[in-house]
Amino acid sequence: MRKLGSFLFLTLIGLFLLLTVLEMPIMGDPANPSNTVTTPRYISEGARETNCKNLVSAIMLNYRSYDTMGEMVAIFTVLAAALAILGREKAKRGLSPLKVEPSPLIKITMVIYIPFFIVFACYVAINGCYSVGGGFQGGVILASVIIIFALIFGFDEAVKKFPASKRVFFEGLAVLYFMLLGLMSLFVGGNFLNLNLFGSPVRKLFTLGLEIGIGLTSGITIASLFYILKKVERE
Amino acid sequence: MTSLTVLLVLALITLAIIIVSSRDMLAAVIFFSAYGLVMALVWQQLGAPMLALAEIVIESGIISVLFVVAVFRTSKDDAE
Repeated sequence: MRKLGSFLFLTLIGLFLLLTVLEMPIMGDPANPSNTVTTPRYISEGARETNCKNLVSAIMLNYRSYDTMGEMVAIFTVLAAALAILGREKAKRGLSPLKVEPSPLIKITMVIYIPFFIVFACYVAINGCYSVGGGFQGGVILASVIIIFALIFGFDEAVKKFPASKRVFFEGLAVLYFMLLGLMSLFVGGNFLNLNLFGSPVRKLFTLGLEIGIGLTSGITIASLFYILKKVERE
Repeated sequence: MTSLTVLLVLALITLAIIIVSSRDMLAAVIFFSAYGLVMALVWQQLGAPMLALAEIVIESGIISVLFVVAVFRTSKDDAE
């Protein structure tokens, strides 16, 4: 009886949801509000107004910078929650050697590759305005470099190279930096995060700064999450 | 909608079924990583290279590593 009841209940909810979907505008219809109100403006004026060739970055960092800041805060909240529940690794702790020593071939290959990875990450983050990529992707690539290092040279080595004391600084800086950069526009009479009033070169610098802020936040969050999980694994 | 896109979408559906029905957690995570790669190709076919880059980096790279760590942490057999 209970099974039948839950089945009927789920069917009812499913029907309701499907009815809602039927009421939504058809995907790809040129008469949709999303295709008639803001999008034409973005496409026709976006490149000129923002000096960004990559339209996705242009929208994310200029028209929708509030949303981007909200995303940064959300990511930061994830990190804070993970830290609150799982905690950091202990600073004073005997080194535990790796169970399996990786082959020298892998180590030397990684030593040669890692600088290129870092350069690629910086390239992706800095050129977010002009080509594929952006701060978020660059930051995540940078975090993956840290993870690769920890996987190959061992977690203890990674903790020594990038200790918790340094991570705290970057974690705190990440969101704060974004907001401070947004406050700058108040000094020239604009609203928060409104970069329109700056001249073209200064504006370019600010866009770059926002990209770097996004990269910093995403990168440090993912790296810290990895550290937190690895620390739990060792106990 | 080219034939390549159809092929990729079919591969996506197959991979999704494999992931859901897999009993081995580690295998599921590895198939999930492969799913991310195919998904990135689909994004590229749909004209969203930026999303494709994010998909490859995050889903195939970072999420897989975090999931592998979580699997090793939670399953009794592998934790010794």
